[in-house]
Amino acid sequence: MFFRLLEDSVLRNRRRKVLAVVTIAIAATLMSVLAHISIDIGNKMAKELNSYETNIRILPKSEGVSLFLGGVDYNPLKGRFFLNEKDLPRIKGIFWGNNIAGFSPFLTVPVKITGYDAIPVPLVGTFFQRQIGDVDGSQSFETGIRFIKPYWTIQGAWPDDLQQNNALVGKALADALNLGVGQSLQVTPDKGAPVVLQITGILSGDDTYDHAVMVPIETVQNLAGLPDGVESIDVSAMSVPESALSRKARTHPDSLDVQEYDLWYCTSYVSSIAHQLEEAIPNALVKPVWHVAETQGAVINKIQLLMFVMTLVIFIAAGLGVATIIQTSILERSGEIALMKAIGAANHHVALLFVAEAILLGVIGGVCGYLLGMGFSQIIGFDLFTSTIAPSPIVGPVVGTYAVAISLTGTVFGLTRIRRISPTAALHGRI
Amino acid sequence: MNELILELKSIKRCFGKITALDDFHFNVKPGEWVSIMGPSGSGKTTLLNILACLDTPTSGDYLLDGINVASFNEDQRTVIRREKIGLVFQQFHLIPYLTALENILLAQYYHSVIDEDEAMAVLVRVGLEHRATHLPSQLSGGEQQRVCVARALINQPAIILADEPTGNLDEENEAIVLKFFKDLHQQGKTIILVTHNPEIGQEGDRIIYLHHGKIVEKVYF
Repeated sequence: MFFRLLEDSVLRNRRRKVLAVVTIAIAATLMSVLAHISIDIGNKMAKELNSYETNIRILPKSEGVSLFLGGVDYNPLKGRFFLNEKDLPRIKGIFWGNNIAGFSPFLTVPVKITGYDAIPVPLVGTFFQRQIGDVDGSQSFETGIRFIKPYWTIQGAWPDDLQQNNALVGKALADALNLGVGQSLQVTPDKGAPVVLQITGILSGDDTYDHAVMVPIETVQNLAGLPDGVESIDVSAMSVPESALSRKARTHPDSLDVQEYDLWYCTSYVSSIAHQLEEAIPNALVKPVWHVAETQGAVINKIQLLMFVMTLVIFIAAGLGVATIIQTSILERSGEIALMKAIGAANHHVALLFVAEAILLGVIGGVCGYLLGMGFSQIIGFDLFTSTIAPSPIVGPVVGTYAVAISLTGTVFGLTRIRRISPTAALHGRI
Repeated sequence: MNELILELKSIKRCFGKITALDDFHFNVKPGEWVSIMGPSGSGKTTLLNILACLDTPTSGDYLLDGINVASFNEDQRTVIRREKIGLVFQQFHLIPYLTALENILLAQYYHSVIDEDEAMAVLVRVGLEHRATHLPSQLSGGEQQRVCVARALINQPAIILADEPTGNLDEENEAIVLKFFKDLHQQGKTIILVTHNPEIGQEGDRIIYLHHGKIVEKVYF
């Protein structure tokens, strides 16, 4: 009998029921979009922000001895020790190896350009784009500066890593020396023979290399007489926003207990990734670029707060909408409710009918909203991050619960009206 | 068995400054048919509301089958109503989207557990077994009132309270419905029936006439 009453209750006043479902579905759609994006935004935002700045720098351990006097670095070990290029595959071998989006080694020597001897310029050796095998050589990984500096603008073409004379010239330097793509350039180090380079592209978009010449790292290693020598490595790692735990690890690493250490180590904080890199690479000093990590954290936290507030506002707005629809429905059916009460229905009998109806409408609205939201989140994902938003199994139940909660909240406001409907109205024909 | 199925003692019911029932005393024995008559505003509706446990008196006692229900709250009154009272309305008041059988089952559902055979038996009793699957809109006024009577009977109440049960019927259907009440009376059901029709009122064991919230005349048959 209950399901018979429910069936009719749901099917009656279809326009109003459709309106309620649409209201719930709109709210559930927004919730679904926000939940999908919110869950995935950590990785997506980190990847997006990392595409503008690398967040970890690896240096030789000797660089950690700082001896600055009057602004001059008197570190006696500076420039005497180098990282080994052969250790680069170890970067992908760490626990959070899959979070390493890219890296590129650097080795710089000052050179003079023939014809412009008065101007010493840095000749920067790096990886532009090349395959690197992992530690055991079973898998390869494509990396290079193209992957960690995607915002660079190249007029011409990227140098080919296999062509050691290919060069990229910073825009300011090219403008100053009137250099263009396709021209040759002879550079001479302090010690050693001159080398002729072929300009394949002009680099703009990065002040750091505006006055530099960039070549495959082997060219610089040969000029400097440092086979496999690397003076720094920039790493772009996808990390989660910093938390109280990671800040504690950063300031007082020894104060972490075993559980805290495990949690920190197994979470992709930039600090834990840096720690693992330091463990993996011999004689390395790994420094997170904190301002990047903190910017990521701040942006993601603010976006998540904004999403929470939006979710709450949508909940209230949709709840009020449903409350109005349900109240109207109860008013319209007050005669029927009075009759039910007159023939023996308790308030909870009638309320249960409306609650069941609310749950049903909430589930329908929630399913519609979830599916629509999944679609919209993909569109937003492509628009903002040029990638899909991975469907999360937790979003379905969350959106369903949210939709039913909206429906029930709206209904609960209406239920107080049920109690006020007097059965005497039925007895005396006022229905 | 109690000597009285229903007993009102010094019942007073006020609505603000208006006193609808004043020092009202009224008894009904089991199996008795009492007709209540009186002009509009005489207190019939207020009395019926209290008798049906739809309303509570301002003061006084109402003993229903030996239980004082005067101070019962809404939930307690709902329970006692579905256990003890069968209501028949002037305008039938059937749920329009439920069939004749389902309308009867609804009262049973709120009372205990639905039993379709039992509901069908009641429908047979009022001669409407062939209309079981019909909606109220597909029934005549007389048939709707018979379904309403069947709904009142399904839970085997101690008292049938009827408010102008033939007020909306033609003569033919009035006679049919009245015959049911007579049959019920003969079977020992307690009936309290409000009517404006003296001929129907005379079918009972007695008539009480109300005026300004008091019994002004009692006629025994």
